[in-house]
Order: sequence, then C-alpha cells, then structure tokens
Amino acid sequence: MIYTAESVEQLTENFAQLPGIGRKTAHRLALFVVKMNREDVVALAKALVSVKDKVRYCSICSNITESDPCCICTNAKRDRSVICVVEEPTDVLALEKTNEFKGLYHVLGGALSPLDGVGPEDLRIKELLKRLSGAGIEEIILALNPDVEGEATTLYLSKLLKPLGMKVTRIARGLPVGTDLEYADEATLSRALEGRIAI
Amino acid sequence: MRLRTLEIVNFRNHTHTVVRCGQEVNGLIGENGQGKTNVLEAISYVCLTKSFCGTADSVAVQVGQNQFAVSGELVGDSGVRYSVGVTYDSEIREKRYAINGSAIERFADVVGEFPVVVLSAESGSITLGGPVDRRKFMDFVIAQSSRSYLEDLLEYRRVLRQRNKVLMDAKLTRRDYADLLAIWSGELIARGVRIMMKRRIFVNELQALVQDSYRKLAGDRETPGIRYRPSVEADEQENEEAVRLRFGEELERKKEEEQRSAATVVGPHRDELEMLINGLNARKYASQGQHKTLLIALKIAEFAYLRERRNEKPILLLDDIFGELDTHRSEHLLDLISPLGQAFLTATSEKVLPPDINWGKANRKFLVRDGAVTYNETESYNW
Repeated sequence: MIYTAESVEQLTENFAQLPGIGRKTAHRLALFVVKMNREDVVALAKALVSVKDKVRYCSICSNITESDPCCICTNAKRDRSVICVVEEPTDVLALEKTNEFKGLYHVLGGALSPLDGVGPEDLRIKELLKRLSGAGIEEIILALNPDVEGEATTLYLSKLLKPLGMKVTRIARGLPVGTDLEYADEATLSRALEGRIAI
Repeated sequence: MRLRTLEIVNFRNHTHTVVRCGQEVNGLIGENGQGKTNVLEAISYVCLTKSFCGTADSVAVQVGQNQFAVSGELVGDSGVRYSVGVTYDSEIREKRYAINGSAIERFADVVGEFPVVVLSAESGSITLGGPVDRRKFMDFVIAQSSRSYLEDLLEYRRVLRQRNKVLMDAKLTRRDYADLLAIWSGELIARGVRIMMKRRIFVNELQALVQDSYRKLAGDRETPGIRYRPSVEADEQENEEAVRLRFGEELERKKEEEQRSAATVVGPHRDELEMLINGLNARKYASQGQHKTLLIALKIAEFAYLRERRNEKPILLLDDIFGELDTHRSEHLLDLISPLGQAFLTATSEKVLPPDINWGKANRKFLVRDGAVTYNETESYNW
C-alpha cells in the first residue's frame, strides 16, 4: 500500500539499494529531497550523472580517475620503482592521505573469495604482471585487508611474484597508533607479537 | 560478576518485566510456559549478546511487536558497574548492543566480558550427543577466556567455507585448482594449528577440575576423564611445528577423498573430545546417573576455569535441572554454587529445589506467571 506518493516510493526504493541504507533511512532521505530547493536537487542529480559519465578506471593502475592515465601514474615526481598493491580505490585514498607513500599503485578490484565467485582471473593480476615486465620495478608492497581473503590473496600474489626477482613485502599488522598496550585487544596484540621485528 | 537489575521489554511473553536480583541464588518458580526460561534468555542477551539456546533474534520479539529491549546492570567482582543494553528491531533486522551507553560494533568483542555458565536441558548433548556438541562446548568455554582463540575460530570457519568452495568448484568444472587449494590449505593450517594447540592446553587444565568436582559429587568410586582427540595426531603433540607438518601431510594423504566429497576432511572441525568414566567411553557405557553427574562436574569445572582465567566469577544459569536431579546431587550442586557466586535457577515448583536455601536478602525467590515476575517488594534491596 502506498501512503505517500509514487515518486517518493520510487526514490525510496532507489536509496534503499545503496550500501548501508535501510528502508527507514531511505524513506527519510526521500522525504528530505522533497523539502530541498529545486536547484539543490538538480545539482545533486547532475553530480550523480556526471560521476557515472566522467569517472573511469585508469588503464595502468585501475584506480578511478577522470583522465586516463590517472594523475598518480602520470606524476613525474612519484617513485616508479615501487608499486603498492591494494584491493579497492578507497584503499588508494587511505594511503594517499598518509602523505608517506610516494610510489605507484595497482588496484586489484577485490580479493580472492571462492564463496563470492572471485578467482584470480577476476582480479587485475594479469595487468599487474604486465606492468612488472617493464624494467625498473624494484619493490612490490602488498597492502591488502587483514582478513582471511586479503591474506589468501597476499599469499597467492607472493607465490606468483617472488620468482620474478623483485623485493616483495607486505604491510605489518599490529597495534594502532595512539593506544596504550593495555587497551589493545588480545587478538591484535597476539598478531603484533607474531609479526615482531628485530631492532 | 553479578547481575543487579534486569529490565525486559517486549521480549518473548514478557511485555515489561523488572527483576531486582539477589546476590546469590535467584529462584524463578512457575508452571511450564509462563516465561521462566525467557528471563534466563534475557540474561544471556545481556551477557553474551545472544540467546544461549542459539535461536534467532527475530523469534525473541513478542508476538505483535517489532522490537525488543533488554537491559541490565552488572557488577564486577571488583565492584565496577556496567550498564548494558540490547535492542533488536525485526523490521530492519538490526541488533544494537551498548555498554555504558557506547555502542559495540563487533559483538565478538563482548564474548568473555561477562562470563556465563549455562546448564539446561540442551546441555545433556555434551555427554550424550555427537562430537559437534562437545566441540561447541569446548569452543564456548575457550572463546570466553581467550579473545584470540575466538578470532582464530571465526577466521578458521571462514577459511573452511572458502576451501570447501574451491573443492566444489574443482569437482563441478573438472579444472585444476591445485594452486588455489594450496593457498587455502595454508590459511587453514595456520589457524587450525593455533586452535588445536589451545584446545589441547584447555583440555589438560579442565581435566583436573572435572575430576575434582566429580569426586565431590559422587565420591571416589568412579574416576571420570576427558581426552582430546585431535583430527591431526602428530608424534609430538606439544610441538607446534610437528603438528603443522603433520596437518599438511594429512591433507595431502586425504587429497582424493577431499576431491570426491568436495569437503575438507582434516582439521579441528573434525576434532573429538572424549568423555570417559573409569576409562570407558561415557557416551556408550555410562548410566543415566553417571551422565548427569559428569555433566554437572563439567559445568562446575567450566565455572572454575572461567573464574581462574577471567579473574571474575561467571553468572550461573540453571534451567529446569532440579527436577531432573535426585536430592543428593542437587544438594551437592547448591553447596558448590553458594560459595561460587550468583546463580539463576528455574523450577516448576519450590518442592524440587533443595530445601535448605535460606530465602532472604542474598537469595531471592520470584514467581513467574504469564510473562510477569512478582516478588516480595518489602525485602530490602541495597547492594
């Protein structure tokens, strides 16, 4: 039964398809749009369409970009001897925010997960290998999520990459900065112990 | 750990129930189907974020409602107070759990914070049921005492499903998946070995506690035992590296069986925890009475183990077990409870409860009828 209006219901349906949005929130958002100025609604609609039209994947690193190749791949100041492999474009964003990493990226587009039907051929692994065949790459940093799938993918890639002769590293998993040791949870602490390094 | 107050709203047959608990024994007395176990279940939600019966959250919502709320005030043995709230909305299928007003994102983070030992009709499967019931018992206790065990266990289950899917894909497509399978075998072994090492240590520690409590219940005539039978048996069981190697060898040896059945046949998900009485397998040879004694001994051992590990006395939930026990055993059980801490027990009649409970300030008696809990309001309440 439709209590409001068909267009509101339609918009609610559309919002509810977004991740993390349940039906109640979707309905609230739809009603908020009803109250918005027309200009703001038009701007929102335009922004949505323009994202879809303009954004594409970089042909080199597979990050999202408006110009191909992306601004990281074309930036002459970046260190071209290091490639950091990540799962998703959001991971590039996270690493860029640190302002610490000056090398290049490679976005896999996910991690190995047989349950979700994701195998090696569904990830951009071939593209990665192709990049490595060009000279000058000295180190590959595997920066995948610290979950079961990320770890399996790390293992898979390291087996594939090590015979090629370059340095293969993975990011450390351990304690978050700014927390006291006593407040760290057991699991994180034991993983941090496992990955301890000599000083 | 003690529960000071419990408030239940729209939960099962309780519309609005407030329980001010006694510090020691809390007896919930009422006919069948009046809502006694539901109170224990609500306590389970407060302490463990979920029902001890393993039922879905949606079933716990009162018929005709779409939300339930359970909250409780807990007092740690050191005197620290926690106020815990759980709500579930069946429309958006969302459960929220908060400690002292701050929401907990991962429910696994709560496991072990408020330790609980449950003895109900279903617990009988620990001694009478299949290996899966005993693994569940083992995991429930170790997880409450070790966060890293719980993390390993959750990850192991995930890896197991992923690995089984690879085996299934290989079977269906007849393609060579050896590379991928090797990756998931590595992940399986890494976590599986850690789980098996912890289970071994746990069973060794529990063994002495079980024997001790069994002796108190039944005297010296019978000797109980628990024995860990891992799915991977190495010559040196204490040597992690030896177990790791053996695990790999076993997977290799069972390769064809795994291909045929498209399932992982080696690993802690196939472990067994053997229960013995006088050296004989309890599941096959023990009498009804021996099963009951063994079960209670296990539960008291579980209590002692958790208290030792968490430095906190668990809350005991005893669901309808007194009618099942003879007076001898139930008196012993109560003797063991009272120095132990706080217990909640349900019974259809006061008569089945041990007669020597001194009902008063520390021990409170509640009447449960049609989803309402009543008790004597004039009793003092200040602890």
